[in-house]
Amino acid sequence: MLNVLMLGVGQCGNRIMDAVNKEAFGGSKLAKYYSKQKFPSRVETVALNTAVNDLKELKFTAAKDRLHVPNLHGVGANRNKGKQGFWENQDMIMEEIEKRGDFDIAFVMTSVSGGTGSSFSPLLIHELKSRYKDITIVPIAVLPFREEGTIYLQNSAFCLREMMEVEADGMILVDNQYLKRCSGDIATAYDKINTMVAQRLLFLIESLDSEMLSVTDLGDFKTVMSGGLRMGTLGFYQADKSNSSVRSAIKSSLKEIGLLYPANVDAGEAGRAMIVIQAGREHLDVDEITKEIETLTASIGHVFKGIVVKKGAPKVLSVLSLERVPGVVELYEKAKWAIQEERERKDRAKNELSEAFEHINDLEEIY
Amino acid sequence: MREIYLALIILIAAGTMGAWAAEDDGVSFDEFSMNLGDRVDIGDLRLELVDIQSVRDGLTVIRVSEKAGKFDEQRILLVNSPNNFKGGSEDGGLTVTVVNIFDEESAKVRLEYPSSMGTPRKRASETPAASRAAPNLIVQKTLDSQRVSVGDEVKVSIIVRNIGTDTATNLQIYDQPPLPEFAYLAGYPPKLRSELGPGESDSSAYVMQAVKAGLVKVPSIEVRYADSKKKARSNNSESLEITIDPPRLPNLEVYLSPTTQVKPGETASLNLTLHNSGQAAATRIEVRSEVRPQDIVLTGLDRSFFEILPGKSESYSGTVRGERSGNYTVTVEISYSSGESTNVKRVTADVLVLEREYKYLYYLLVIPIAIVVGWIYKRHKQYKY
Ligand SMILES: Nc1nc2c(ncn2[C@@H]2O[C@H](COP(=O)(O)OP(=O)(O)OP(=O)(O)O)[C@@H](O)[C@H]2O)c(=O)[nH]1
Ligand SMILES: [Mg+2]
Repeated sequence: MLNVLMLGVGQCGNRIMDAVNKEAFGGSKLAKYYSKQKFPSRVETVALNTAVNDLKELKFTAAKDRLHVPNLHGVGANRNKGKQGFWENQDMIMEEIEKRGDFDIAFVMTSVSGGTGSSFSPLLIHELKSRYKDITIVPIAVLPFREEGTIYLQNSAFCLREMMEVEADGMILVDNQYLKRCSGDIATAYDKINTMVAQRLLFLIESLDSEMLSVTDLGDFKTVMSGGLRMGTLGFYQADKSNSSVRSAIKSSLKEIGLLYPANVDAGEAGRAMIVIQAGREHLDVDEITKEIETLTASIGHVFKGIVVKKGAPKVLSVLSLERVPGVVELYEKAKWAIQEERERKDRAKNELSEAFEHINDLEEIY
Repeated sequence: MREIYLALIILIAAGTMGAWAAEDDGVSFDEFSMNLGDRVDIGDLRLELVDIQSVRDGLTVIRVSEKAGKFDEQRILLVNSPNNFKGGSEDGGLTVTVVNIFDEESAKVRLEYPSSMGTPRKRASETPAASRAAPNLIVQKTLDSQRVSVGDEVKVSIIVRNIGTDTATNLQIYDQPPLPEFAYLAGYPPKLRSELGPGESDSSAYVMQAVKAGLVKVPSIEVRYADSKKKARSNNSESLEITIDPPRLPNLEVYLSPTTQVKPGETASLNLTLHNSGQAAATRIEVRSEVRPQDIVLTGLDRSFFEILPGKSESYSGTVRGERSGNYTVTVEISYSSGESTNVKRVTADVLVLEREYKYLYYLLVIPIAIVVGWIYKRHKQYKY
């Protein structure tokens, strides 16, 4: 059995983690009062934040799993402040995690653009790596809406780089900008995105830790994540009863519309893939599946396949590592522009004031 | 057989002859127009129209006397109502009916008499009516009730009126000695003025109490007096009858709620009603209650009442408190006094103390709810940050 640590850092990370806990209860609002969470493995969840209000907002995460970094009320998107906060409370935070036992894999969920999550996560990953020798760490990085402002853009740029540098085992991208089409207003869009991410993560954990017809395991997952740019994303498709063909379900799970970060698999943007198929036995024609996987290898370097027998129409989860991330590159271009503009603004403002002050050079107050 | 027929025929013949014989001593009648003082003689008896008191009210005074002097009775007769003197015509006496009053001085009188007495002969008065001045008393004795019960009081009134033309003197009342059926309470013996002028009247009353049941003939009262010539006279009232019923008694009816159910640990009330359906007050009423077996507590039924008047009721309630389930019998004993004797009545009622079973049902319901609430609260605490 796998020991899984799920860490939600900052408001965005907290909320995704809350969605994970909700899904583990079966997705119902009241289930937490009577039901038991059904995690496929031993899963520990910890929500970490500098803002107590963000922690209070959570509904499905047990109180003991909500960890407030004391003396702070959010860091106002300031990553320097965030890092300072982490260092000051590092021992407390790590102790809190370590008392939950040993872990094989950790998912660190955060937005890359906010203050707390984006500054804590790289440092946290580094700490986890040094304390748990064989742990696999996969950040779930949420990219901002591009119009959210210059600070969020620059935070994203620096955070993403730091996370690549701390030797995480790949990274799963979730792009708010791309996924906002899910819903009209932001709040429901967030909820939908969080639920999507939560369901896919639980599916993924299950696929790494279950009796399968054809097995995928943590090793396969690591191999996939270490392919390409070590950045990847998740695709998903659930067939309905009218069209329950496994082959088309596999295809659909790789379509751009089913991914959390836009990528063109047919155009060879995916480096490696792990395809997990869950379906009732009557839908599981192994030949068909093998044929479809073979056609996929034409455009993707290597494809692992896993098959889980479970009643119902086929559900397919695809884990991809990417070889090209034009969206991220574009984000860096924007970030560069944003940083420059931010500096110019500051200089301009500074000049304006110093010019104003110049008017009273050599003058004194007279009463 | 033949002898029997013969006997029968003789019997029938005898019966028929008896009937003929009865017809033989039949009753005859004659009517006479009489002036005041006129007399009709028949056999030994003499009838006299003494006075006409009131033409309007139809009152005349008739006197019937025996020539030998043994019988002499004077009465006031109402027009058209037959009056028997000396037993009446059926019994060897006379039956007199004033058929019509013509004026202050004359009336038509019908006389019935046994045919065997012969023929009546009328003799006109020798002296003119106006010259015969004499006192004449009408005596009336009345009871205020013809039917009473033992213990009731009866008022006897005596009225004497002088309807004569002269003063009556030396009036004396002769009432029968006290009757054994009555106790005399007040006013006895009655007293009257000793003199009554013409047209005057006097009255007296006394009160007695019925003490023994039965049909009592109250004898007539006699007033003796003298006229101006010191001649002794007397007049009687009519005799009366009164029925005395046995004494009135109280009768307490007792109503007690016949069955009562009570839950263990709770109380229920037992309603008791005492109703006096008798005709006299029940007094010194004592109510005593008892429950068997004695595992339950019964309170509030024991009471005393001074009296309950006839037709009245007393209602109140006691309480039973259920302890152990089962069937219990409540016995209530009521004693009361009805004059001399003491009566006792007894009623019983069932009290059913129910099983405690429902408590378990209640726990069966409450415990799971408590568990669920506790569980939810625990979860709530777990998720409350
Ligand atoms: N998908 C998703 N994105 C979110 C959610 N909440 C916030 N975000 C995104 O997260 C970014 C803001 O980061 P937060 O996580 O709110 O910030 P933080 O880590 O709490 O840091 P501070 O608030 O600055 O201390 C923005 O780009 C939001 O669009 C959420 O529930 N779901
Ligand atoms: Mg925040």
